[in-house]
Amino acid sequence: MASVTLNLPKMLKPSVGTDTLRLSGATLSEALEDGCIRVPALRLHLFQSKNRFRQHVLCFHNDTNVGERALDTPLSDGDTITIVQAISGG
Amino acid sequence: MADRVTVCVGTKRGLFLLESNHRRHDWKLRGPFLVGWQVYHAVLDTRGSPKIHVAGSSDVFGSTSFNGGSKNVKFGGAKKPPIPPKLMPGQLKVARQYGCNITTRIWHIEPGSQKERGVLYAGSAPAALFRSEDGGSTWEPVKGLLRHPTRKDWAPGFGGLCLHSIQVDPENSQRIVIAISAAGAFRTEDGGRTWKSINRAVAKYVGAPKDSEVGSCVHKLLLHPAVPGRMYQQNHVGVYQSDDYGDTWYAIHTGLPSDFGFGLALHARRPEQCYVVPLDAGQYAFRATTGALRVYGWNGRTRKWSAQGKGLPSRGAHVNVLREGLFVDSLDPVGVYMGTGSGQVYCSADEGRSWKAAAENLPPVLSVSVGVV
Repeated sequence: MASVTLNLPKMLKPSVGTDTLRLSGATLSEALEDGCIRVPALRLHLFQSKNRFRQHVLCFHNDTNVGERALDTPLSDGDTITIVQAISGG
Repeated sequence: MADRVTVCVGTKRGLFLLESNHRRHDWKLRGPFLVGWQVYHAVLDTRGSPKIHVAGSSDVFGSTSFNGGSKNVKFGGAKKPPIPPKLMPGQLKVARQYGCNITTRIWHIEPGSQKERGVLYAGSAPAALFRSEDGGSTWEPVKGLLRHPTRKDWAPGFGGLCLHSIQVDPENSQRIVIAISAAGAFRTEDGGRTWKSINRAVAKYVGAPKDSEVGSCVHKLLLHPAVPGRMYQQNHVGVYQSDDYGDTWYAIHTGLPSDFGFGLALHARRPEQCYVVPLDAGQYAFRATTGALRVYGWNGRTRKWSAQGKGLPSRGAHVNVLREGLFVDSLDPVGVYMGTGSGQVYCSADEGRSWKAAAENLPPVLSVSVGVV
């Protein structure tokens, strides 16, 4: 069980109550589930169904952009999970 | 004499507040708040200490409700947000066929009656009604409406299958009227357990299911707070009035330059008077005024509409006013407020006769509502 930090976009702060959460879990999936239990609104904002991110929600494990296929990625103490809103256009 | 008038201005890029005194001549702009959120509606709840309830939507992160104080504005999100239902298979097919919006949104938040402090209602897309009994912290769906036998026939409008109008009878909180685009209006007399469709004599949209009691594309519906049974609706095709809580409707749009529009507001004290902003519906994707921005006032005594617009642009104004874009306050004389898709908020402090811009260059305005404290 690793202790990790979840960083959220600022626009979620009014809804979630914070833009940083300390979470626990052996994998990305477990840590995010820990976050959703602590703050139920997080599930609404990040996932469109179980273990499936919303279409334009990106999840970084440390510096790596991971998709839902990598939700079983093992975590280590001190890791960071960062949620980013995908932006495209031009 | 009330000394603080607050206009909640919901935009595509957050919430703004306009504040003035009872004269409503000079306005102070605050915000944006909830940056990044599309605010389809916000309302100042004056029951108890004033609070602002906000319907927030994001194309990325979904929709939720927020609330906060009106002086030291700091918003918090719902602990258990209203979660809109999924479109039914037939509704999804129609949405894809006609390019209707399928994004989930919270469209409207309505405080309950004065006697039910803490009670709020929210309407969503896809269409559902939610009730909160704790000031918007937790929400539960009103299941009676979701079980309505016509639900499969509710079709999404261009903006989505949205429940946008919620009116609680001030004399009887068990009587609630709601409207859905594009299904029609419904009324409950038992607090939401059972619902009756109230669309008789209201025009249906082209292609609406035949022999169904739904199929009306109501854009905005309001219940007059002072006259039991008096309601108005701005429909996709027409403006209608009812004097029996919607059991029967009659058209009143003769004399308007267009029977199409979204915004609707009622005079707070004169129940025979309402306001609309007719839009050009001739071009499918260009629903806007045709150069002159005018608010039309209905006088039920003379049965005539009059164009009101001193101070509003007379030409070159090709703007839209959406379904939450028109509002009337409760002061004397009443103030009329209008937000445009081009980022202006206009205010009339003399019942619509003359107008002044209270704010300009905002993001596209989705809603205006006014609270007087």
